[in-house]
Amino acid sequence: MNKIENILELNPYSYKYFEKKKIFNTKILELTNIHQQKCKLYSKILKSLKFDKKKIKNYWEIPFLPVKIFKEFDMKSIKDQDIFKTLRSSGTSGSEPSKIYLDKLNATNQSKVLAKIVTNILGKDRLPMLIIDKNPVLSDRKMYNASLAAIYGFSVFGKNHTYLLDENNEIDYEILNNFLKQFNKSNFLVFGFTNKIFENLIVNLEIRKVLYNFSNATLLHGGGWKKLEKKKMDNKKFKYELFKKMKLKKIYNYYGLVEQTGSIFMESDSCGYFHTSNFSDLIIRDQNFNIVKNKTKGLIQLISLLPTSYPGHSILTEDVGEIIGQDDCKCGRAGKYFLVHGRTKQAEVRGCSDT
Amino acid sequence: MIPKINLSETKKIIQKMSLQKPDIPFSPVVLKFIEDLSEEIKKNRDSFNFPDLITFSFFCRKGNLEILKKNFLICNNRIGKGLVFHITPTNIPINFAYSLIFSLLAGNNNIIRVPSKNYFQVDLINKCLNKVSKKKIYRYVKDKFYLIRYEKNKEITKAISSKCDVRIIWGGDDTVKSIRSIMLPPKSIDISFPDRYSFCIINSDSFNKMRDFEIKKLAYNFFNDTYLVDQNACSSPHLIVWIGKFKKKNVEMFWQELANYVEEKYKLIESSAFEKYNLLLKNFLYKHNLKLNKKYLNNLYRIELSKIDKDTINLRGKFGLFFEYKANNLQNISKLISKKVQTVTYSGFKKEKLLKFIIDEKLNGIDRFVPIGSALNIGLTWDGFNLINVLSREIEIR
Repeated sequence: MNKIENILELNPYSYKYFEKKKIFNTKILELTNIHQQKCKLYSKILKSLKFDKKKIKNYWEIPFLPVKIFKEFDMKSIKDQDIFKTLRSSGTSGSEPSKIYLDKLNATNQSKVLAKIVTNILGKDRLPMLIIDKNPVLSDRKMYNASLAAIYGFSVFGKNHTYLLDENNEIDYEILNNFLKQFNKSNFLVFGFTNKIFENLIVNLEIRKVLYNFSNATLLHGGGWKKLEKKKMDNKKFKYELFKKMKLKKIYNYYGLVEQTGSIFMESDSCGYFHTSNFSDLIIRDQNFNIVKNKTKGLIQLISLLPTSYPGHSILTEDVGEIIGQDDCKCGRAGKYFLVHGRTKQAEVRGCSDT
Repeated sequence: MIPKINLSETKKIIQKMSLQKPDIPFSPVVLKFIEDLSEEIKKNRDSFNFPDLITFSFFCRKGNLEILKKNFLICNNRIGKGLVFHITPTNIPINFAYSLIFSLLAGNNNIIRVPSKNYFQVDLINKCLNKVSKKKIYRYVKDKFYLIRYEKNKEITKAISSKCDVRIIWGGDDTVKSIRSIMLPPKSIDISFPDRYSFCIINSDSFNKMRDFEIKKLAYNFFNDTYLVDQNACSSPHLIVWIGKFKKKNVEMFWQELANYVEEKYKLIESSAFEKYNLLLKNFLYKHNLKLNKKYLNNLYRIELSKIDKDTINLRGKFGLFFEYKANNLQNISKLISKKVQTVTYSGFKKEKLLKFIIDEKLNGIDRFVPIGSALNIGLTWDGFNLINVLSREIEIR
């Protein structure tokens, strides 16, 4: 029944266009049927949009849900007693978080797929892991669920987990130096949220207090650039700063939303682009939701094979992206390769007195 | 830029403003001052990039002020209330300026809280106000208003509230409620402009007789009421009710013409398309059996309603999302009228019939009937208030 298992046996970047289309056409329509039957709200939306599955030729034509819907409504395709865990996004300040309801199967698939994608880059061996955050157990205030889930989710790829920050969010140099002394001779893993990496490694870290180097480190980071846009920090500069300051050169950014946890998009170090995997696809649409040509910016629609317990298999994000190409990336991965350019710009508010 | 103030600075401002005396409505020097402000804004090249600034300066021009003065029944037994505290909405840059002008015209002294967010329009008007104020003849008017800026701060709001004669609150229902909880002196009053709902009615009898160019013109006017402000204004319609015998062909032509204007004149950006689609789905989830009737790309969404009731006012559009409903007669729409309803834009009805409708049906909503195309024309009568009257004191002499 669970065909994810079959896909898990393959290289995660093996599907080329036609094969992917064939598989996704079946799987995504199947998911649409499941959610239509099991999620009342989803079926109501499909009905109101006059969705007719007979008219669907390809999986990307299936209606997409705007990510905001998951903030305001409990979109779920499982019974309450089957909820195994609920993921909440950190959300922008003041707004409600997204709520993603997972049953056991969906949660398991997320972990398996995440592992498949991450180990493709890191290899199967667990490396000593430095986490640029504070130990979640130290948090007096409850950490946002999704951040916590990400830290725990990625922790399985490492061992000797060491947290860089103390309970006051200050860098603990003693812990850092002990970690490096022990592990910096061979490969080790550094993990954190993009803004935390920026804040702590690029800005706060006093390099003269660091007694050992980072040249054997692999940095894995994600969570978005929203907070860094104001500081005029982009991926290129970010990498440059980290290399200049601490000789860190293997840096991988990942792009992923809480609405599609697991099937994340990993940046490849040889080409510098994000890649869709066998479990996901990405479509770029213009303001009329028409699909745009490659190398044209537009709204990102994300498609994932994983969401079975909530109708998140096709979602429309507020992010702007650009597909560079498909199946022919120089890094050798099949699928689409793309860039993300941050959030869409909001319209100027035009209100009452505008006559 | 208007600097942010703290509590002790606020107290000094209040002290200074409390010394000011009220004036008669439409005092000649105030009128002259507003005229000059209008000129100053018009002179500024940057204004042309902001339609709201242009309209504001047009509102303040001499000709319009004369009409306003004439419409205000000149009874010389009125004088301003005194000190007016304006709390203006953060999301509408220029609202504060209208609020100020209305109150100046009524003869008051004013403390105006401008949006805490930085808007170019606010700074430009402030610059123009300062420039005009420098003229010697306006030394008197200059002291009649003070623009302030502060982030949400209950202590500051409390301090000003404790000394004002009128407090004007523009904003969402929650803002109004939270500010209302701060006490005013016993004799002072609140005038609030909370969230409202507006819709449009079209008389099919006359609509069906319209020639193509008239339908085109109607669509254009409707465009101005809605797309120009992304349907954000409280007087922008969300719903069109077709009243009487429904002729599909003509109605389709109206929407097509509207879609054509939108295509030509309106730029839907990606974030708005996202918001609009999100709102469409939210509306679907809010009410049963809604169907997307027709979609003109993402420019225009039409949703047909099979019935209307009190909840219909919760179905809102944005960036060109409209509901429509077919009714047999005017009486059929009574059931959607509540206190929340502000403006009804219309086509093909006699004024007397509309007024009679409210009186006969004993309705507690609808403050305004204006022809399609005039929804956004703000004036001295707003939300059912004659602003000069509520902002001034009538002296009885027998």
